[in-house]
Amino acid sequence: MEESAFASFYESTKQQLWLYIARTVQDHAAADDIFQESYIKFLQYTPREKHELALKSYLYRIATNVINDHWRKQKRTRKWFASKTEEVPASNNTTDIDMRHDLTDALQHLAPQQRSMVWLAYVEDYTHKEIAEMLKVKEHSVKVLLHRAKQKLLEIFKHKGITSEVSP
Amino acid sequence: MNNTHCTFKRETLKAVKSNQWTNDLRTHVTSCSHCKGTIAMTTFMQKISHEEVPHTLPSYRLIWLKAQYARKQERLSTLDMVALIGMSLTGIAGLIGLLFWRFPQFFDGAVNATGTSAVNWTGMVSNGAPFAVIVGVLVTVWLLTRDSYFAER
Repeated sequence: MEESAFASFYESTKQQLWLYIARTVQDHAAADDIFQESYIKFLQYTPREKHELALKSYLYRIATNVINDHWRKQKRTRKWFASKTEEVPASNNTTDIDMRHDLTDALQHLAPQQRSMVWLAYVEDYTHKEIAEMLKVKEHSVKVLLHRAKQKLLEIFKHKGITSEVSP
Repeated sequence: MNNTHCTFKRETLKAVKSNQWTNDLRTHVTSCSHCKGTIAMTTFMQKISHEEVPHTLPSYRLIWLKAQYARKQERLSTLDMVALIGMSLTGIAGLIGLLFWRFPQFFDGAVNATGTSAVNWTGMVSNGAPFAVIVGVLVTVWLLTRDSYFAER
């Protein structure tokens, strides 16, 4: 990939990729490292595919792999995949910042893999098949895990008093 | 629609993001609990996906340079391995050549002892072959290690 092409690709993807990583790992310092490593690996092994959407998908795949490596390293010292059972405090916060904080906080109640799935499905619009390829799981598992993640998050949102203002 | 998924999910997701609803979809959504959940999830996720990154991200140039460096390091580590194998093989060959040159009688003895003295070994090495072997070793070492040498400077 040419330097100028990378410059424009980087500018168009950096913010969303960082948010994806940060929301998944829930640690800004680790997110910074994973962010840089993802782009470096992307450049080292750039595919011949020139289409931006395919390149973006490839970048997310790399980032997801780096995140998984990060979890594996973390898992040696801590039980990251232990399910969190503490009660979610009810809240009536209605300001935008508070709501964002609550939403971000709610994501912590999901397993890291489910956080990735939720982000890839609802923010990046990837299909179940694409997500399955990225996370190296079966397509059916993506459906089931996404469904469970959705139910769990909606329950937390309901408990926190967060409602969606969008109506069709 | 099944118990975990609705076939209108992607259309609903797109409609929420673009705020463009068709009448059919609107009718479907009012009676589909999955799609209601999709609307809520998409709306919430949109909120946190449009946040500002709390600090400045590195410039593309920094990433680009780091990638170039990583690529070169990877290439060098492969090259180092090749160099190591090459150096070992040429070193052994050079040593054997040197032994032929300086101690031909040793090999004569060894060959005679095994009873296979069909080849005239001393004749082969007495016409400058050892010198060629040594030069070959030095040139090979130089060729294989020059990238590592310059990369460190």
